[in-house]
Amino acid sequence: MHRWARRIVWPGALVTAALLAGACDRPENPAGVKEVDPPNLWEGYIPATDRITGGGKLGDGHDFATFGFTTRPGQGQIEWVQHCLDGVNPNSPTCRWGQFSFHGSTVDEYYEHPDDPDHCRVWTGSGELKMRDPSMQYLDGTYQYTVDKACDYGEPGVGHDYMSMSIGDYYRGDVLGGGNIQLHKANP
Amino acid sequence: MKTHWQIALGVIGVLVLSPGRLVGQTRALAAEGFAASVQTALASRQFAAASLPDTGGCANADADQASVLGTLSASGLTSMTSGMADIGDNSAQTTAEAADVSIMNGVVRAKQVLAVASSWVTEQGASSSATGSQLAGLVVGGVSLGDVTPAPNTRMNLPGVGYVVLNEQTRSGDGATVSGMAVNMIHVVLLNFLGIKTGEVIVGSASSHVSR
Repeated sequence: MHRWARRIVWPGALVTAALLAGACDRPENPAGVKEVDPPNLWEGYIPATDRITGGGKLGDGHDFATFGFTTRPGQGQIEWVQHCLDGVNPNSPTCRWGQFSFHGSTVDEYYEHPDDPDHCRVWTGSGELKMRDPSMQYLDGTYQYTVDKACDYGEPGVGHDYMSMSIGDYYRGDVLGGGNIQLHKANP
Repeated sequence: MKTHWQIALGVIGVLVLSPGRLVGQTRALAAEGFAASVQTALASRQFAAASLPDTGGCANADADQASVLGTLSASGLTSMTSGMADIGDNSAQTTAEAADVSIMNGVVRAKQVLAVASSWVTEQGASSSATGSQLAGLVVGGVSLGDVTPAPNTRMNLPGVGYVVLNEQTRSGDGATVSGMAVNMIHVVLLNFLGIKTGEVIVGSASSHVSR
């Protein structure tokens, strides 16, 4: 499957949990009983009621991403720009298809991250992706995105805060190389 | 003796052309950025400029291309700001970037320019940082400088043009309740044969400011 095939990306742990639940715990389906709805992949996640903002840079050199976002329950936006100055670079998985920008305009789910609910949030939504390389612009369009983990570990954010992003099969996550992430628990 | 209007024009000129102007110094937080700007007698243009709303949140601007004949060309211009005032903690941050930059017909060139400014204030104090700012594929006066983050406020003369300040940083605040940072990654100051400033070109400008 093409890495940029359009599909919803769910956190890997949740996908695994859902598959295990389906394989091990699925009750027999008596004849005549309708199939139930698909499992809730966010089951067990606690909805967050606060807000998180941030912006900065991941990576270094020619291969880096810049971003800015504000997120609260049910609304927010995120801007994400992935750089690859030398175009297609098969040696770099994040540069492989060149530079793109992404504008996420919705927040569909927003939760405390179970790994570290005091500092980290996870959310999903959708937005518009635009490739910079004209030869790749057939990929432009609407995609689901998931901020797999955004963490505020105090100040300064550089070298401490963490950010990771999935768009389709694109993934990038790292400690901040610039900027800051701020979790605003008192200001939903 | 200068007339009043001459003095007034001079003051306006200084305000317009001053580099690294800090924003919103009376607000709890402010941030703005632009990917590039040109201020000359013939052109006054700003590209991909974004400013943080007073209430905080997120703002961005982008442009595929920027071109001012003989003065500036660039592509992939983007600026982003985000931030919010909170009880006890305020933060604001800005990134501004451009690619394939050529200034004054190639006297200064760069494959990528990125300015990052972030400011924060907590009960423990206030501070700002420009960490993450960088230049890639930098060429000044025909000399290749490669991928670098020059020392703050590095100045190089450009014979026949003026001079350039790389990684120009301006800090503000008291470190306790107020802090601000303005970064211009490439700031070319144009001088005439008398050494008088006639204009400027800035690429990668990010600023942030917080107070409590």
